[in-house]
Amino acid sequence: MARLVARDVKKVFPPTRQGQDPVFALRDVSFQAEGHTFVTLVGPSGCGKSTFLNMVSGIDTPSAGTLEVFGRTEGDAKIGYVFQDPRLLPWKTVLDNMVYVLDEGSTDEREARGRRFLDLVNLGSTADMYPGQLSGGMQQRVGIARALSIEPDLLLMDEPFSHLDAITARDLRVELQRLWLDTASTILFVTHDVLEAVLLSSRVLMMSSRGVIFRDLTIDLPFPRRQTDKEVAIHQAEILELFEEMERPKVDA
Amino acid sequence: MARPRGREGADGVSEVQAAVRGHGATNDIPASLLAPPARPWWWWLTSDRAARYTARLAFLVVWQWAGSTFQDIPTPLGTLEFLREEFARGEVFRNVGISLFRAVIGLSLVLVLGIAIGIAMARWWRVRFFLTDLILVGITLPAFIWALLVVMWWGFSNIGPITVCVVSATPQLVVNTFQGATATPGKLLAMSDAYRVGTRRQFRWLVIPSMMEYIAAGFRSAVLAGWGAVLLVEWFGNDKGVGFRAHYWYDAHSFEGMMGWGLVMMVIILAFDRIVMDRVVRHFRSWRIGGQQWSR
Repeated sequence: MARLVARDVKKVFPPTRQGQDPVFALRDVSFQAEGHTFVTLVGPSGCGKSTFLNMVSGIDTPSAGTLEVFGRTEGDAKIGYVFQDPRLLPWKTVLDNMVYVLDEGSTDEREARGRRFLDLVNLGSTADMYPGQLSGGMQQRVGIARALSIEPDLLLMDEPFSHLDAITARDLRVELQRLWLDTASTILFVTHDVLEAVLLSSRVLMMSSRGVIFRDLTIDLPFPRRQTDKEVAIHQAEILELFEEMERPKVDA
Repeated sequence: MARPRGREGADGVSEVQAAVRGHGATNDIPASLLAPPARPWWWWLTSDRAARYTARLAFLVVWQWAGSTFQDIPTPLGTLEFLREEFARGEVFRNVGISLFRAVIGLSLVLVLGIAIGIAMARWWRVRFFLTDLILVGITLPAFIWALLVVMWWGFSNIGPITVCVVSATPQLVVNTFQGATATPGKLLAMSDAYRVGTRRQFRWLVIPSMMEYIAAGFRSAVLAGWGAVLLVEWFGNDKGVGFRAHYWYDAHSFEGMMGWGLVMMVIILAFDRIVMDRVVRHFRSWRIGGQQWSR
């Protein structure tokens, strides 16, 4: 479990040419998340959700504000990252891809750990295959297994199911709920799909296209949830209504 | 109401449905679909292999005819006879050995320098801009200019052929390595950073493998250029080696001699390409081939 503290986080991409304007990806993002919780940032494309995740992971840095992640122990928090695309090394086997991100223990120990987490997503039998031999959904599950294998304090997920077909995505959402309930991770999830946000999250942060969080909602429904649950549909409708409300003045103007 | 698509039989199953069911059973599939087609005896004459062998045979026939018609053209039989004599004199192994020694030393240097410079140019933009023009000179300055220069500088020695091999083959490998180094997928590098994968492991597991195909392709053309360079220097100013021996027979006005040594040069480069480079390239592509087999 982790504690994530974001205070007045801003991100500006400076102009690259004369006459160009700087791009404000994030204007002001502040929130805290702590413990065994599933937090989802939901908002339209280009609102800075992925940029925020990249900053949390350390790939990118904020232009202003502070962003802190505290793990269970002293030192750097362990952060797992599941990307939109699986991002596996195509010339390495599935097992080697798991071992690639593990740095504790001997080679045998790391391989055993890799296999254990592949089993967790029911892909133990693919350990010696190359990623190109797997379907898109299977590759994404390897990506999830890889993220879980480091036993992260914080798990970042950037629209991990958006490239998959509807049936595979639905199955993986069910699987993700199971995995999250079994682990002690804090999850920060990003999506533009409101139904997905309601289905998975204990808390939904709604972002506007201006790069600010304008609503912080708690989804108080029991897990595991199903896409066909009535309550899920009701929450989905409410959130969509809030988005419409937020956009209304702009449409009228 | 749906339009009936066939007459109903006695058991209430329409004829169309019955036909579809029938095709599901293996014993109903026509034998012509299960066995390879019967081919006439002359079929192999139309195959791709036949085309290759026909071309070779036709070439030999035309060559023999031209050689026996015009005095200035060597014949294939005469060339073979010449090579047999040259083997008997012990010249073939001695000179091939010397040329190969020079090429191996030269190309080993090319391999080290080419990869190091290529990576450095991709990694540091100052290095890139510093070396761009020099690489351009290396690629565009003809090897025979280098060959004449080194003969004037060093005379008959091993340094000349090795130097020209390095200066004319290294740029080829540099350009390919540079392309490979800049083609390393940024998304995979970002993933590695997010997981705090160490620099050494990133280099060994990600950067080098992503470049390997480019390096192999670059080295393939470097071998061609380097081998040609060694032979050229030997031709212009050396007292040993395959190129020298070809020049020797040129001076003696022996068409068979020229042609025979030409054949030796060709066989060596083809053998290296087929036996060594083909395997290297295939090894570094094996993960792709694995993927293709699966999707087939």
